[in-house]
Order: sequence, then structure tokens, then C-alpha cells
Amino acid sequence: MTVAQQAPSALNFDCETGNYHTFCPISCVSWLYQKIEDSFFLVIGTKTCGYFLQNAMGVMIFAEPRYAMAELEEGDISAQLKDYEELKRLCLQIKRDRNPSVIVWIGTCTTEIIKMDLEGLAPQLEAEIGIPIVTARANGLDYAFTQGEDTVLASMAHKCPTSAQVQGEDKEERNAIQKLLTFGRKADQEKVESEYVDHQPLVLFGSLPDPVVTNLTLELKKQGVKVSGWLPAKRYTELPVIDEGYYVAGVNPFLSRTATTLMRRRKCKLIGAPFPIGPDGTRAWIEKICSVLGIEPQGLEEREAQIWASLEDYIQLIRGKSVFFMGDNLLEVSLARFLIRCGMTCPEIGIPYMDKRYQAAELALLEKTCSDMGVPLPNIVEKPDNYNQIQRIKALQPDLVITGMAHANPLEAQGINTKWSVEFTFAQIHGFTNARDILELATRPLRRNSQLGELGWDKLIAKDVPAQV
Amino acid sequence: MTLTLAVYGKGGIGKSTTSCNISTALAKRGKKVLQIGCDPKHDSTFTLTGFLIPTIIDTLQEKDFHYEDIWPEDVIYKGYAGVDCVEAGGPPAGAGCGGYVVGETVKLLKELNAFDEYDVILFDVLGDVVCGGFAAPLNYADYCLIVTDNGFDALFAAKRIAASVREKARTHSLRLAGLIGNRTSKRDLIDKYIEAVPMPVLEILPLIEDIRVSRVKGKTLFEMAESDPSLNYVCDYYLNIADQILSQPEGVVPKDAQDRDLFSLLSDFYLNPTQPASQTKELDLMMV
Repeated sequence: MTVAQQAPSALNFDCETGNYHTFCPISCVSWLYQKIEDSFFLVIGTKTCGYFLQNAMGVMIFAEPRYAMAELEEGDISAQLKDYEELKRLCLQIKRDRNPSVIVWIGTCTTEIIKMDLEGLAPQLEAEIGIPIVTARANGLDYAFTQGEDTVLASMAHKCPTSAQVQGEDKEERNAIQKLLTFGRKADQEKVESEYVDHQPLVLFGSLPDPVVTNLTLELKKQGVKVSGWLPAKRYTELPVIDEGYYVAGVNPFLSRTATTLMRRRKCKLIGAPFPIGPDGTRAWIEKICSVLGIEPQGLEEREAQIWASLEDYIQLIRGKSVFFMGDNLLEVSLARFLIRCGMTCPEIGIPYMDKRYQAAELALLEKTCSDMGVPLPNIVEKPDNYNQIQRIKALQPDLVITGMAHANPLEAQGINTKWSVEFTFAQIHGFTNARDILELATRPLRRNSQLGELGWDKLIAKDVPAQV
Repeated sequence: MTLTLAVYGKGGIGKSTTSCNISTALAKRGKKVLQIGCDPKHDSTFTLTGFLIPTIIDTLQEKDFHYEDIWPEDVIYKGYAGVDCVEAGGPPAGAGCGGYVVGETVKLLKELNAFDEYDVILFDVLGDVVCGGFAAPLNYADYCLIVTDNGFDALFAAKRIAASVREKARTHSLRLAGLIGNRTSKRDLIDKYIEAVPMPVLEILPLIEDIRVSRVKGKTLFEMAESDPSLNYVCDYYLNIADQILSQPEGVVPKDAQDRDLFSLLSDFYLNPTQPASQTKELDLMMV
């Protein structure tokens, strides 16, 4: 067991067990199927995966959601059944019942171990049934929680058309629905175009709820930056055009494979920026994009200051307190950076996987934030060993631990305030205005305690329970 | 277009030596070649590079399994005649899952864009197709080549490999290019086998001591022939195979043969050198 006694001068990285103690990455289905409205997600795995999905998403099969399980049985695993025929049968049924624009196959641990050749089967089957198939190996052996989205987007990046391909087909048809929705606004469009600075096309990647997409797009528009498209788009048929030399920028810290794919396979230029989480991160993100595109950003400082002022009531609750990240959803560095800016201290950031190149700008901002705030740099622990972490938590007694679901209740019982990391995955935390929601979540356990205290229910306050050893 | 080959065959039959020489022959014909050793023993490309190159698994381990930190030049080494070499590597002997590692290697190379940059990619796979992992190269291959000798075990292994080619050919553009007879002057049992399961024979190489020596020296026959022109005739065997592959033959999807039938067919060859036809006649007479 090691407890950092002295304040280190540079970020320190440790790597512990090499295991991912996180939520299963196939859970990415839950937000991606809602994001991509004309999609169908088929998870190919065992009963256990099915139980997990039903529990995690709280949706019963009767509700006919746009996802389903292809349940592997003994016959499939011992290869007695032809996997091509089985998948064809299911995909034809999906086509008949739902007729989606794309079917996404989600591989699991089982398909990984029996080496089911999903990538090999997909091209032939998509030609046969006439629906594109995207294959993603969102298995828990190779990936942590939110990296499920990373596998899907990396795979989808291959399906983005080039401008040469789009010119071939009818351009009108491609944006038919968009046109329909913006009917009669054509005259405005011409005017809008002139508000943008002329720059190399920029595509953003990362799945965010539509209001957040609109919000970030508008923030960039204010600076004259035109977003050519988002990966993923609201509809699969509207995947962004990606050509060699386009700029791409991520909005989520867990999309390292997607970034690598866009750079290596689609020859795009990645804008390495901090992530637009918290007013500080959002400002740095916009500034970096502007600087790459040769634009002088306007009014960002005032905008940031205004947001900070509106957060003051929440910040008072956490200023000077400490937060410990056990590591679950790969948002840890960005959240820690924001909370440190809010006045907290952070002894340790546990994170399942750390792509130091993709997160370089975020790490630099974290270092800068710590020195600005005059707090010690956190220790970053990749693939942390939960046992060791609990020893460190006991020694450090942080005011708040952000952790996966498994450890929340046991820690609460030991007198430690906790917050589920998974809530930050599902809440809208990106952009200037959503910073309030991050603090709403982070301060909830502290507010609950103070309210219980006011009511005189001292025994229910976690802090007063003697720590068990 | 990249032509992808997968070389299979019973353990110890000379797959690696044959693969290295075929790769060199293809390079001599002006092709850009990548040879991928898919054997946990990681000695497939030894003959080309002259040393045991670090494996992909070693490299991954060194980088804490951070795929984004690996670039083609970290895992691809230049061998003789400009043939690029990669070794998949594997878990320590007797532990872990070798097939898993082979699958991972193929996946990583694909992500590295390595597959698009070559004229020919040759997978040298360990022994038999024992599981889905070791069959993974077949998912990418255009042709499977089987190295065999004139013996029962190697041909029985060939049967298993042929069966997996048949299986993969259902969903992939995979064909069996044919057999390569190695270290044998006779080919009677091979003939017997291809009578039952028709497939081309690309070449029959006799037992040549220099081939064995080349392996130990870490040199291909082509490299040795540079100083000893009397070996040029051996190189011609490999050039012949290379030319046949480059002509992109039609190949075959092997016919299904029952294990038991083939077993008796091949063992009869040893046990009952006379044709067993008389026996069936007798049976016919008895059953009236």
C-alpha cells in the first residue's frame, strides 16, 4: 500500500492489476440506440449478457425497443449450428419487423473467446439482406465501460462516406429528412453560411444527447466555426462525410480507438483539446479548435466567468473538500480537473484505461489547474486494484468517493460519502450550461447529509458512523 | 489488390522453412511481401531475419496493452530480400490461449493498416487448425496451402485443414491452392489421398540436406545460393510455387471426407498393400 505523502511536481502514473473493474461495455447500447434513431442493436452473447442488459436498461422486452439479444446456446458455442444462417435468420426478422437503416452487431466476451468471425460474416450478410451491418467488439475482456461506445464509433468511422461517394448519389436524397424538417427555411440558409469563417471541414465525434449537440454546435457557431457533421449523427443515413485531411475533434475522453481510426484509416487531423466538460474545459475546447482553424475566439472569458458566478452556491458546498475517483467510466480526469477548479482537492484519479496521447491536452489542463489552484497533483492509477484503493481510501478519508456501483454501499457503510460514477455517464455534463448538473450530482451526498443534520437525524449521516476496519 | 496466403500443415513438417522460401521467391518476383508467423514458438521468420524478432505480444506487454502506442515499425521487421516479417508470439508454453493471441495479432495488424500496403501477405500458422483462433488467418486468406509429406499423419492433418477450408469457404472467398509435398521422393500416398479428396499438388520437394542446414543457419535457400550456385535448382522449386500462386489459380473447395473413411483409406495403404477389392467380392458372394 502506498499513500502519497509529498506533493509531486509532475503527474504520476501507476498501472496496477491490468484488469478492468468496471461496468460492462455492452451497456453502450442503452444510449447509442436512443441516439441513432434508425438503428437496431443486436447483442450477440449469452443469457448473462441478456440479464445484464435488461437490468441495466430497465426496459422489458415487451416494450419492443430497437435492440435485442442473439442468445448463444450450446449448439452455437460448439459450432454445431451455422452462425451465418442463425444471424441471417435473426437479421431478416429484424428487417421484417423494424426495417432499420443499420444493424449494429455488438460482440461480447463469448463471441471473442469462441472467435466468432463477425467482421467476416457481416459484409456478405449485409449484401444479402440489403441493410448495412456495423460490427463492434464491445466485450468486457478488451474494453472498459464507456469504451463500448468507442468500439461502435470506431467501426462506424469506416462507414462514413467520402465526398466523392456522396457526389455519386443524389445529394438531396441524403438529407431528405433534414430538408423536410427545415422546410421553408432555405432562404435563411444562405444568410447563415456567411456567418461562418471559411475553414477546412471539422467533424466532431462522440455520442451526446441532441440538446447538447445543438448547444455545442451553437457555441462553435458563435465563433464562426462550422461543424460539418457529428459521428454519430441522429440518423445513420446522415453519417458525416469524411475526407482525407479533415479536422476531427472528440467530445468524450473515452474515444481513443475512434480517434486512432480516424487518424490512421481516414487520414484525418485530430485536434487534441481538453474535453468540453465544465466551463473551464468547454472554454479550452473551443479555444483550441479556434486556434487550429485560425480564428480569434470572442467573449469566451466573460462567458466562463458568468458561468462560474452562477455556480457559486454549489461551489460553496465543496470548496476545500477532497474527492477520490475509483475509476469506472474514463471521464475521471475531466471531472477531477473541473472539481479541482471548483476548489476541491483530489489525491487519486483511478481510471480503467489511459490513452496519454489522446488525453494529452486534458492532462496538461489538469496540471495547469492544480498549479493555478495551488493544490497537489493527483496520482493517476490506471487499471486500479480495488483492494489497494480501499486501503488508500481508509487512510485518506476523502469527503467524497466517486465510484462504480459495486463499491458505493460498502463504502457508505464505512462512513464514506459516495457518488455513482455511472450517473455522470448518463447525465448531460458537456458544455457551459450543463456544468450546473455536474455539481448537482457531485454535491448531492453532501447536501443530503446537511439536510439530515438539520432534521436532527444524526445517526443517518454517513460521517458520524464510526469507520469499520 | 493484396493476395493473402495461409500456410498450414502438421507440426514439424517444414512449414516455416517452406514459407520463408516462398516469401523470398515472391519477393524475387518483384512483390512486396509480409510474412506473419502465427506460432507461439515465434521462430517462423527466423530464416528470413537471422534472429528471433520481438513478438507482437512482447511489444504489447511492453506498452501495457496500449494499442494506440503501437506503430507498424514497432512490430514489423525487414528480412532477406525485403520481405517484411511479423511474429504473433503467444503465451508461455502450457498456459493461456495461443489461439486468442493469433486472433489478437490479426486484429492489431488490421488496425495498423498493415494489410493494405502489401502485394502478398503470407500467414505461417502452427500445425493443425485446432480452434477458431488458429483458423483466424483463414478469415482473411484468398488461398490456403498445405505442407505435407508422404506419410499418414501429415495427410490426416491435411484432411482436417481441408475441412476447415471447406467450412470457411461458405462465407469467405477462400480456396485451397493445393498441397506442397516436402522432404519426400515418393508421392504414392499423396496420390492416394488426392484420389479421395481431389486437390492440386503444387510441388514435391525431395529430402535435401541443404534445406535443413539453411534452417539452422537462419538463411533462406536463395541467400545460400548467392554463394553456392549449385543450390539454384532448389530455389527453382520455390519459384515454381510462387509463380503458380501469382497466376491466381482457381483452387478448390475440398470435398468433405469422413474421418473414418480416410483413416481406413490411408491405413489400408500400409496394412493391406494388395487391393482390398477381393474382400468385398467375397462378401458379395456370401450375401445371397
